[in-house]
Amino acid sequence: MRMIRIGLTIGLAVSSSALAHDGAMHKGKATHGTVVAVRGEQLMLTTEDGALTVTLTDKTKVERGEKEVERGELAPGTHVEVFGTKLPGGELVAQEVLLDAEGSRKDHDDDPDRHTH
Amino acid sequence: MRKLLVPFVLAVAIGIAGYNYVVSHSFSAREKPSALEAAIARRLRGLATTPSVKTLANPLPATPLNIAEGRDHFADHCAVCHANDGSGKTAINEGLYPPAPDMRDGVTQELADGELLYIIKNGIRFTGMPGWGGSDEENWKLVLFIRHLPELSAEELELMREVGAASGQ
Repeated sequence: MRMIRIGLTIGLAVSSSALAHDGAMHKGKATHGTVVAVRGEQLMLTTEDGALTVTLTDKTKVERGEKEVERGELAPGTHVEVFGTKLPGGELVAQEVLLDAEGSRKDHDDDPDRHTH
Repeated sequence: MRKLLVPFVLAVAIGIAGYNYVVSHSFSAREKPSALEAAIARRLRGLATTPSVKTLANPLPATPLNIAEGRDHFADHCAVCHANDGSGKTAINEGLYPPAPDMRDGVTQELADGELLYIIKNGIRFTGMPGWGGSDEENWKLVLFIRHLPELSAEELELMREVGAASGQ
């Protein structure tokens, strides 16, 4: 019985990590910051290194926990974690923006894909 | 009878030459293929590539974002063997037989877009190049980046090092 319980626990852990964010999208370090404003395709953040403008595209996913949410949830004051691609010149184009980054950061630490891609 | 003699002698001579080549060489992967072997292998690879893929054109435009996404993907998956700059100067490639070529040179750059896509997806048998599968969109971005390799800037190399460091390379 104990073995079955352990098996179920492992199974649930694996299936929940499979539902987590697409680790394959994450190349490079995440940028952490707090939303100041969203103006069109520009997401303004304050980060440890100062002000940063992130470009949003129609392919950018905004997620809270395991769920994709509307872009409207990028409210001022929200902590975010941005995964994206830096262009020569420094522009950061977001592929994925994770809201309430504290919780999201834990999810990513548990996501095996994150460490293999 | 005389008609068969010449091909027979030729076949025996090739067989003896092949046998002597095998017994006089080790199977060490640290040796480098001869120019003849490399040329034959390239020719065979070309023949084995489905003809229709050679006419495939990259459907994605070479925008800065598409190239940069291909760049990050390359830094994350390919650079461990090919190096960020595509030169092939890596510890793994030193010991590969045959080694991956310098992708900035003609051997790679003269391949058609479709051939590059085919190689990324399917790999090359008897070499260290695996078939990665993957989505066509991601692979076409890699093709865009491979085309961009000859003009890679120092800033782009630095961005690739950041990606490599984040993925533990």
